[in-house]
Amino acid sequence: MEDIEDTDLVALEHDRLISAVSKLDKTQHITEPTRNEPTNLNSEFNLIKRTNKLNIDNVAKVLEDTAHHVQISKKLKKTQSGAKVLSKPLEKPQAERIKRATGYEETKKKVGRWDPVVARSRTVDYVTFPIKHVSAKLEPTSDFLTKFKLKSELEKELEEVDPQPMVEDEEEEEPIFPKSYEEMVEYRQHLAKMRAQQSYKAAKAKRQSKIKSKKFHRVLKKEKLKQELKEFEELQKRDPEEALKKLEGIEKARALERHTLRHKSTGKWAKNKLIRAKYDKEVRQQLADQLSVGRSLTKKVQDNQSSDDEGDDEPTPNFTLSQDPFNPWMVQRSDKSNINAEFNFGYKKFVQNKLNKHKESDDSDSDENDVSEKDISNEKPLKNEKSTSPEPKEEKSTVTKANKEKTAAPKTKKGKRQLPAAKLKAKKPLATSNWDVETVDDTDNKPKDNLEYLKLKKQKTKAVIDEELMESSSKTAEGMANEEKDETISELVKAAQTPVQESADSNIDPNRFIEVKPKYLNTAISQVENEYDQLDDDQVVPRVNIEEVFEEDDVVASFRQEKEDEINKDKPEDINLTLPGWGAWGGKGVKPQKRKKNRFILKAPPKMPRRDENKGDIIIKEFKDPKLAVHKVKDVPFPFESVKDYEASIRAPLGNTFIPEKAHKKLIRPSIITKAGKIIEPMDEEELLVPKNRNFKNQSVIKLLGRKK
Amino acid sequence: MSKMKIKVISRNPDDYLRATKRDIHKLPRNYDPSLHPLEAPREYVRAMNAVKLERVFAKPFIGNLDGHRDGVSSLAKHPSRLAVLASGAFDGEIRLWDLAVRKCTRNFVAHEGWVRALCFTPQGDTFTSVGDDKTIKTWKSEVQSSVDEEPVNTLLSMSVVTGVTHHRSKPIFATCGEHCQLWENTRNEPVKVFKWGVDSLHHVSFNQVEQNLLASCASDRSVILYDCRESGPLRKVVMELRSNALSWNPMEAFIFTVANEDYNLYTFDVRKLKQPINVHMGHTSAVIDVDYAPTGREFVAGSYDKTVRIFESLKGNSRDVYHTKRMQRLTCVKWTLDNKYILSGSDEMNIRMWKARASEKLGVLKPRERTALNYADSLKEKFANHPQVKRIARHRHVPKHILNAQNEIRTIKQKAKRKEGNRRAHSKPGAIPFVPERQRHIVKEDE
Repeated sequence: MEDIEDTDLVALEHDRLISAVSKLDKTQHITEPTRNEPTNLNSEFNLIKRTNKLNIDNVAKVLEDTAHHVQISKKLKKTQSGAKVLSKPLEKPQAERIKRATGYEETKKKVGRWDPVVARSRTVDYVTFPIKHVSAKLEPTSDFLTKFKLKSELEKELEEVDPQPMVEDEEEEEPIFPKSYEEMVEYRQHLAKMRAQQSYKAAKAKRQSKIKSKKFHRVLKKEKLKQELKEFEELQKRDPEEALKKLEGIEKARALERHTLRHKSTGKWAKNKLIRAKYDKEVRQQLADQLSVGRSLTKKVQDNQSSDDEGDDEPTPNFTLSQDPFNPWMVQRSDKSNINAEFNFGYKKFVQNKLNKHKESDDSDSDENDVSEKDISNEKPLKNEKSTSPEPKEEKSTVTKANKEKTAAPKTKKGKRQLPAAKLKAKKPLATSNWDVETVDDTDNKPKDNLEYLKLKKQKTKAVIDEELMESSSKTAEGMANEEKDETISELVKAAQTPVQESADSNIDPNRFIEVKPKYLNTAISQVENEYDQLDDDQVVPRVNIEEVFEEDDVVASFRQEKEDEINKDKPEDINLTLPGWGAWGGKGVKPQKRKKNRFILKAPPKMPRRDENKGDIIIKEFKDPKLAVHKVKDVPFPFESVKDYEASIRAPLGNTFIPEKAHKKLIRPSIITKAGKIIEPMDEEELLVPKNRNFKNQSVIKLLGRKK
Repeated sequence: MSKMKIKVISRNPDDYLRATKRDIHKLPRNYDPSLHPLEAPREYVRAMNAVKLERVFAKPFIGNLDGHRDGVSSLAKHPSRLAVLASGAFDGEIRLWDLAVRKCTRNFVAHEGWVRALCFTPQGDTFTSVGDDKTIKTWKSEVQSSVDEEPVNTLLSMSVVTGVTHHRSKPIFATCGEHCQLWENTRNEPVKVFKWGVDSLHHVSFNQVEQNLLASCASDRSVILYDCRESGPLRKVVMELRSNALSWNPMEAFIFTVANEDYNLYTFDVRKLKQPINVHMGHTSAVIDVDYAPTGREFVAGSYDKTVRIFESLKGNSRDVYHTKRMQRLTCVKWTLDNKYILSGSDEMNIRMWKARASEKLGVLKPRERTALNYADSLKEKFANHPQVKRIARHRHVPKHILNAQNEIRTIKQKAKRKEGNRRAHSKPGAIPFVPERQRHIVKEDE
């Protein structure tokens, strides 16, 4: 015990001694810091140093003393030798740089997921905002359960007082033998009777249908009509709703009538009658009756009551309109199909067919040309286009089919979708196609220019204008406006000064007439169509004397007047420079000398013969109108590669005056459609999963977007 | 042939009866192109008329919101309500506006000194403001009781905070000032601090699509990209002059545009920072603020030259320029979330509302009217390259000072070009390389 105390004392003494000694030393010793506050900002000065570290060598030394522990000490030493000292960590700036670089690479990759979405939205014809997506989520259970309601106390009590009848929907079990023997026999007899009656009726109907007497049929029809009318009247009293349904039946009959040619003048019978109608009044009447039947049938039901009566009564022809079978709308409906049907017969049909065929093949040719041009213009066209089948005939047919597809759906999505399939078929040397095939740019060859962002090929090419605004301050603008105003004023003055041409004589000069051939302006529309048209005109309308046609207004005279004006406009005139009173007496009654007058007249240069001088009724303009030049496009705008392409884009009309309503609507759809008052949310991550975005395989565009610099 | 009979158009009037009074009169048409040889010229005339009408109706200014007693410093748009707008002024006042009736609904002094930035939380129930007094305050968007008028939360920062932006889905927001800091609504200290060599940042903005990306503009002329999760700062691009503001494209995750002091705007792809993908020119003074349209196709820029310009994101020149006599230096611009209006705040204490498309008709459009307008638009597009159409469509009146400044800039540019040409002519071939415009304004890209 004492020993221990002694040693303690000694230790205390020893510590004191050491501290005293250390105080002699002037150097500062940093006390070990302690961490007592959790923070995420650790100073490098605050790190705790591990001074009293366990040294394994020492431990092993202790163990070695006893033979028993040799094994363990060996093991310890082994682990010691196997452990590697970690290399010194990188300097902080370096480490951060590496961290940033890796982080950046990661983000780059992550951001790249959006390429197809962006590429698609930049290339499609129109986008609607906000981008909506139908959520495929099912209704949450809690929501579903809220639909069930607990009954209130009152409801429960009420139910007790007056229980609702339970709806029994239990199915009755079918007995094995549903009917007794007698019942079965009766049933069979009933069935046999029914069948017999059916067959009688069928036989009767057949017999009646074979009766050729027209009178019989007429009487029959009348009877039937009367019967029906009676029934209908009864029905109207009894059950108005049912009657209404019947009325709908009449409406249906009207629809049917509208698309048949039954009561038109197109049938064989009507045609025969038409020939005789000229001479026979009765026939004319018959024809009119027939047509009026059609009219009454196709007439819209305006009023329930009145229409019924009309429909059921014998049709009373409207004589004022239907008397004359030559009346064009009585003869036939002004329906285009009808016209074609009427005029399509005989050799004309043959010619037309031939022309149609010709046109079709021509179209396909031109399409192919277009494609080939496009391919040439692109630097590296994809070769794996749709390969042709070996037989040329078949190829043609496929081509025309493809054309038809194109015309049916102007957006070439279809073609694009089929592209992968086409790729599979690649490597056949002969490859012609009329599909829009995206070109793949070679990333290495192309200059690294980000302008390519603009080159994303839209499906609908439009001119891209990226120019400065033409800005001007208001002062200059006013000046311009003034100039313009001046011009207009001077024009107005001029117009006022020119004497109004007196209208030509209303009497027509029999000598003045023009022989007119149908003439066509130089449009780019293929000549074939025009020829066809010409032929058609010749067929339908025989050669016309233009003077006769326009009896009211004198075209000929006005044209000649126009020509005269045109000639006079260009004719140089003599300029009179005489100054009365210059070198002689002047004033009232003094006539200038003739010699002097002649001296001062500047003679106009001799008139050049006009090109249309002796050519009759024709005006040839010899000079370009400078006013037109202002409106002309000087060069081909950006996305277009040739004048031909650009012209084609201008030529394609958009208005519903020129193209059908549906096409018009499709063509004028704006490229960005937004809804009024709807907030457009930023792009959502769910868009990545939308099939149309995932399937957007326009590799060239995506590559353009994702190209590394 | 005694008497020739000409077939004239004669139709049964019964076929042309309208079913109802509102029905359109039937107009039989023959679409055979050979019957319309002049269809292109006719459409050209229509296009000319359309483009003239467009300029006639181009009256973009809708109205202004006045009430601030100092210049407007910042604007914030509500994420889910189109009519709500918050604005901060240089005197520390914040005002909330109802745009539909053009009235101020609430105003209070929020900070001592200048309200640097404002931003709504994604739910829109609160908004955050930062000011020169080193505080970040969160306010309720709607006041039900007097308690709501006090800030919901006030955070004290160590240094001045100049910008704030909110994460699109998580409850975290980023501020910038000395460093870029990430805050969580419930904590008093920043969750993370991103440092990268710069001591002052003046604008920060979260990407709305790739939600963890954010970018900030620094005073050392750089634009820094961050990831708000582990990696922190990612990359820095240093430009010739400093960028004032930054806006991410809300539809294209990797595109952002910066408004620069050198009168230009630059659109960058996150993956290719070495050079901008587009340089947008047109302003005649420093561009102060930029904001993308929610469709991502266009953006609006406000400049120190007292004009607002609208650019298409893929084109280098502006589509339109707005100005009024009384509008002074622009401080902030915003494009509303329905893609219809533009809001601009300026030095002279007013907030102005503009139409995003100058000649657009406001209000309900009947179907036929809409069709007619669409037709006019597509005609304008079709004939856009015809000189007369282009002349009318692209002509703008600008104040004289802009015109003078433009002339000055033009001469400066020509001078530089001539000088470069001369130097090239009088030095060894290849000694003076051709540097494309896009690369000219970028100093370096830092890793």
